[in-house]
Amino acid sequence: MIRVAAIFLLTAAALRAQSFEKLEVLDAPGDAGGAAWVIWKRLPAESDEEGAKRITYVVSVAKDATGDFEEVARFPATAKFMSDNTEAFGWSKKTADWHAVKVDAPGYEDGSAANFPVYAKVVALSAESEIASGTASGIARPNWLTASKFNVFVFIALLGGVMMFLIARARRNSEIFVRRIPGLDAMEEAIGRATEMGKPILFLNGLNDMSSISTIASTAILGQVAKRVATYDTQILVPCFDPVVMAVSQEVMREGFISAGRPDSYRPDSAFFVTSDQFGYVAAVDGIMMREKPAACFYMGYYYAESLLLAETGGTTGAIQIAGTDSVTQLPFFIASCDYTLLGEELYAASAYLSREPIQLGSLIAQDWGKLFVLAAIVIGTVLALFHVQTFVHMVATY
Amino acid sequence: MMAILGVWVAVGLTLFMFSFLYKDNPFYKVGENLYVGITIGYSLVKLIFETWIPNVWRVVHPEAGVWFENHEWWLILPPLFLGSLILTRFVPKYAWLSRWTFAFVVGYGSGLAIPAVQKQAEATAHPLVTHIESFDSADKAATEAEKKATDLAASKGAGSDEAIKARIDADEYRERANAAKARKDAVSAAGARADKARAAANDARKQADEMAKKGPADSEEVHAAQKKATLAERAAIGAEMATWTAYSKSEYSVLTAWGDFTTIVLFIGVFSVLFYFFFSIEHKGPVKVFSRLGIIFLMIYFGASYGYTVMGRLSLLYGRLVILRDACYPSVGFATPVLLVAMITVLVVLHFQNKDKEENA
Repeated sequence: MIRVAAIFLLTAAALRAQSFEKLEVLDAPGDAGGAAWVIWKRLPAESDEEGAKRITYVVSVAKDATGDFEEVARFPATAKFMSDNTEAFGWSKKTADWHAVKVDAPGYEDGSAANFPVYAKVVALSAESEIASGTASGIARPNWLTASKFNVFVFIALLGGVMMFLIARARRNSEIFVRRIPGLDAMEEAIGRATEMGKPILFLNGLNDMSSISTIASTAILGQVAKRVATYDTQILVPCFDPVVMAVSQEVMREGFISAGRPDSYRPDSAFFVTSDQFGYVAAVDGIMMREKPAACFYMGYYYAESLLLAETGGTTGAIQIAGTDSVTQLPFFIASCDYTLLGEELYAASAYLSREPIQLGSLIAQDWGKLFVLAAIVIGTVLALFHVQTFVHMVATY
Repeated sequence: MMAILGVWVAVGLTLFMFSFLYKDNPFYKVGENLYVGITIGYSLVKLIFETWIPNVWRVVHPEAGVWFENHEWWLILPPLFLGSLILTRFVPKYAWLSRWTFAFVVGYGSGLAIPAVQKQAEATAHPLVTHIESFDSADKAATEAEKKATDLAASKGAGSDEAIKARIDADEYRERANAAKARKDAVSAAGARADKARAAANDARKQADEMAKKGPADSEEVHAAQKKATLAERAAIGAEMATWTAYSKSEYSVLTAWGDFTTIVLFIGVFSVLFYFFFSIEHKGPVKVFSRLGIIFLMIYFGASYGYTVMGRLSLLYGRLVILRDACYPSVGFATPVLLVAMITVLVVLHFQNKDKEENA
């Protein structure tokens, strides 16, 4: 009790003897112009945690110096530091010494594009005394660029450059080594089997839309499968979960048939839309499997809880089944129920592996470079972290 | 009445879908087509009312003056244009224009995926060994730094660069010492709480035992006292574990070592799994060793994930079976048994009809 009273009195006395240092209003970076940061250096009375707990900050803002200041934040001095917002202020030990509060620019409305002045005042309250800052001002501006994503830009630019170089190299020399992927070698066998049996091939693109990387990879594989299907004159069925994926599937199949020299054999209705409901789709595809009895089933792309329902039904029809997904929760089910499974990145490598086209081979090798970068970053970051140096990790951090 | 009808529909459709376990049959076909039809209709209505009307129709409609007042109404035009291009697929001559839309969708999807690579590096880079600074060594270092800062301020002036730098360093050392002290104090406080909780538990147990000896052992008072003692013992165990946790943050202990071990396993796991996914190098020699290790890590994960998910699926099945069980009672007209018997009868009849057809063929 005596200790608490002593801290109470000391904080009040210390607060009376202090003043605000370096109160500033900064434009919030990377936004549409509707916000600003009010920052100020911690008061010396906050050096002790007990002392900091006794202080409450009140932040008020107005749109002009003489206008009505409206309270926008009230919080204890133990909270809201610049170091909590590395996206806006970067990472430095010094940021832990500064308080930072994000405020909405008064007068700003969604869609307005002008620059908005922000005037701010801060008051530090303890039970017995209070000190007020002067008024600081700044302008909330809309920003064209988000500086916190600069490292992503650098990484993409580097990876893009490496990719261009490797594609050019692959064009000069197409004899690039790619390790064996058994699941992809089995695709040829599966299509051959379907041809011999006179039964169709069932190809699924997964349940994600066209912006998903796994769907993009699966349609690229579909292009290669369609080429072989056209060559062997086999029937292919592609029930789709998403209308856009259906349209893209039709396009890549058309390309596949044309490049195999069999444009007349292409049937646009081979790829058809079923429904965009997860289990409605499964019910329909399971029905198709039982009626059409495909000789080979390909499950490429991203899957959810329906993976086992599809693969088990496919298994009961006696089809050879090859799956490829980057859905880590569904991979175990495909491994358990399919003849071959492409794990994660093997799905992305499949198209390059099957086509041996220089552009795809170049991008496949660039992916390996990307992984090498991640490995190097992990090793360097871990070693530096051992010595309490976090700078490198913050350099690769994404927001 | 509607509620009972709803139960019959739910039970009927559940049984229709379960009938697939026997084989493809007319009941399953009814369920399948109903499911597909209803979901397509529902998605279409949702698309019209949640996307088309608020985002497009209200903007282009003549009565939508309010929307035009918003000076960002033109933002609708690029997606509207790209969306309209998909309709060119109905005109074979211009169908190629739809590729622009697909290229846009594919492009932004690919771009968004790249930062995920960086996130992995950021998430994995942690110290493999935890360094816990004891209060004594931190306090000693802080005292030395403060002495150095004071000496420099006296010899070169408080405003000199060297003195300011020494003062900043001293503050940092003192902050670390304060943190170490807080950790040490937390251990003492947790220990005191644990001792108190243990003493209270012992007292409660003693009291319960004495009551059991004195009176009838199965009386309500004795049960209540025993329950109280058990709860107090649990609270004591919790407090003792909290002391261990606080201790492991203050001093290097078994718990800290276990944490370090898991971090090292995680590091090796990420490293070896990434090696498995290298395609442009042959997997032989040390690379083969690492990639084999990677596939072992993957399979361990897949096994655990499989078990975990199967447990979830069983609970879903259990939920469905509960619905079927609840529909066995007269209040809902014995929906489950009636529908089940009717379905089995029809399936048996169909089986013999098909058999006759096959024999005649």
